[in-house]
Amino acid sequence: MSDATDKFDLALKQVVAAKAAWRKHAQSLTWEEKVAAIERMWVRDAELKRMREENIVSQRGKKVEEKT
Amino acid sequence: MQNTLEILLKLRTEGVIGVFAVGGAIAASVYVEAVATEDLDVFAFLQATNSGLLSLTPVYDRLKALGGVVHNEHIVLHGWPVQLLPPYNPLVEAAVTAAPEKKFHGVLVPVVSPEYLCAIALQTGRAKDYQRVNTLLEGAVVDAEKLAALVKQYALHERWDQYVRRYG
Repeated sequence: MSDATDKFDLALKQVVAAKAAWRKHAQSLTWEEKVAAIERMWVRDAELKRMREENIVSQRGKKVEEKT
Repeated sequence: MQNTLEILLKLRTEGVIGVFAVGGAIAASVYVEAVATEDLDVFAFLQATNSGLLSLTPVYDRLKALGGVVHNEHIVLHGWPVQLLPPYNPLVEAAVTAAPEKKFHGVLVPVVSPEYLCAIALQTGRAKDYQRVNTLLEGAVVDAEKLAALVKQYALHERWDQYVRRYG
């Protein structure tokens, strides 16, 4: 039990450290780089939206097939 | 976004808008890590009409002539939805007036300072605004004395206490 707790604490510390390092890196980018990252988020979000909508349409098609 | 900012500077030069400053998530991204946002918030002093009312119509007319496309509450300039807002209270007016200039691809653009971004976020008081305050404070980009002075000047003590309860 204690061993599992130690492993969990260690993993948590590693996650916290990795997150802090990422934030430090993300903050150190130039404004131009950050804006470019935001613009890439638009592309990613649009793609996710498209995939979600396709999935909904596909699920609806399956339900219609099942009913018929 | 460079073209978008250049258009805003052009409008200021032409006198279509007065002093302006970039606010919101894009302003915050100057100081801390970028977060997703769908638009560019711009606070701009506007010319009053003969009747003394502030009107966005002349600004929108000029922006449309420069290729802008109106979409709901935004005007899309070179792919960036821009939300133009007149400074709606003394705090925002002061934030715009005191905004330092930051370089974007060599172009100097006024951007609301981190202390004013925190004060405006506290005043607005939504969950995402408190999150912004936290990100700016954690990023160690806020001058604590300046922020304390703004909290005092604009009577934001209750909001500050609320922030501390959430994140302190």
